[in-house]
Amino acid sequence: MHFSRLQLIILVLIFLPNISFSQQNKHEIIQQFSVKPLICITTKKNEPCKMTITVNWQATQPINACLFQENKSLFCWKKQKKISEKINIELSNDIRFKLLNDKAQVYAQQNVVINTVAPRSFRRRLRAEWSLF
Amino acid sequence: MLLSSSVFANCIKEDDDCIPIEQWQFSVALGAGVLSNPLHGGDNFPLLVIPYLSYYGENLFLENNVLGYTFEESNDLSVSLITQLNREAAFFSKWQPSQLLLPNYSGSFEDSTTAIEIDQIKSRRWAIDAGLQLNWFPSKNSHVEMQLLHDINNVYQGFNAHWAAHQSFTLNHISNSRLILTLGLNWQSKALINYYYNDESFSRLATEDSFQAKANINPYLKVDFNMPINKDWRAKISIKREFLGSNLTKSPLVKDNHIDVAYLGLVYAF
Repeated sequence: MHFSRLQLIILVLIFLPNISFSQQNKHEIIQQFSVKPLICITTKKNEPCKMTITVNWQATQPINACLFQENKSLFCWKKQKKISEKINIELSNDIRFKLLNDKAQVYAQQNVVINTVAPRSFRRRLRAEWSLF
Repeated sequence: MLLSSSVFANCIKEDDDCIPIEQWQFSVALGAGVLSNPLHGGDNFPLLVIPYLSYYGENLFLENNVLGYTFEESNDLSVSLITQLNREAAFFSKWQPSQLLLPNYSGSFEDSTTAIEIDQIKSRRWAIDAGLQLNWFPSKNSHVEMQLLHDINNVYQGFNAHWAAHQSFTLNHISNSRLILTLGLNWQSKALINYYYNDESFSRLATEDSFQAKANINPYLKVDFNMPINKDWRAKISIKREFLGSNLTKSPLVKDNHIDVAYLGLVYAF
């Protein structure tokens, strides 16, 4: 089969709206998706950064969805419309959180980064000062 | 910006609760005080010059006779492994009675006493304890600490535990002064009580009332007052009373039902 340039452009114009519509459709199921905080702050370089994130999402209809930390599944929900969940995580690098449907298609995603602040200068005293026996 | 809980927001400057990391701190208290010895014939400990040494690294810490390693730390909780000298042998280091007079209920309907020569009583060794320490900081001015320790040099082959809640207050009419109230508990296992406060010689008495070692709890109250005088000097008052549990005071070796610490002095920080 041989298409002229014009035919090719017409073909693309015919199919393009359908492709983008199906993608938009999938995204539009999720009205809102957020992962907070967006930054995990650690004082120690090259050590995992631990924190508790709050994941919120809201869909237009009840859906099955799973939250992934890159390729690792963290949490799955069945037939839910609105979620607010606290999850303990440990990050070694900047990471992307993805909300997937049960066909492994991405509903929404959010990046979380690690920040290393200057080493702390003070610590809480762990024993009573001058404790005599 | 929301921060994770691994930010140590509570310690941003040096004060009574916060200590600089990787700096040795040495100070000396000069004053007068006493640590009482609850044993029959035990001498009290005069407290005149008390050295204080501390070092806090990123994880390691040293506070006088306590060496620790903190392996988990968040804003309000620390978990450490520690080792420290057990205090019980200290009382026996200043114990010089010539003999112990023990009540003897021999069944003759007549109470009498039996004397045990002091050289018949085995000497007590110093124990080195090691175990877990938890520190919880519910607020800037409150601190709860817990320790569960076991002797590591096979002396009494048992456990002891400690729980204390400290609450500090600033006194408005005395600038920069600080009052710390402490309520605590010391728990000692049966093995500890048996090693330090029981003795084979007691079994010869073979009476209904003969001492049986059991686990013991001593509650205590402590009041500390600190007042800076200038950059290097500060005044210090410390008063503590530990109420000895009945499983300890029943020991024929123990005379008092409490241990007191009182100290009034000036602290110089080098």
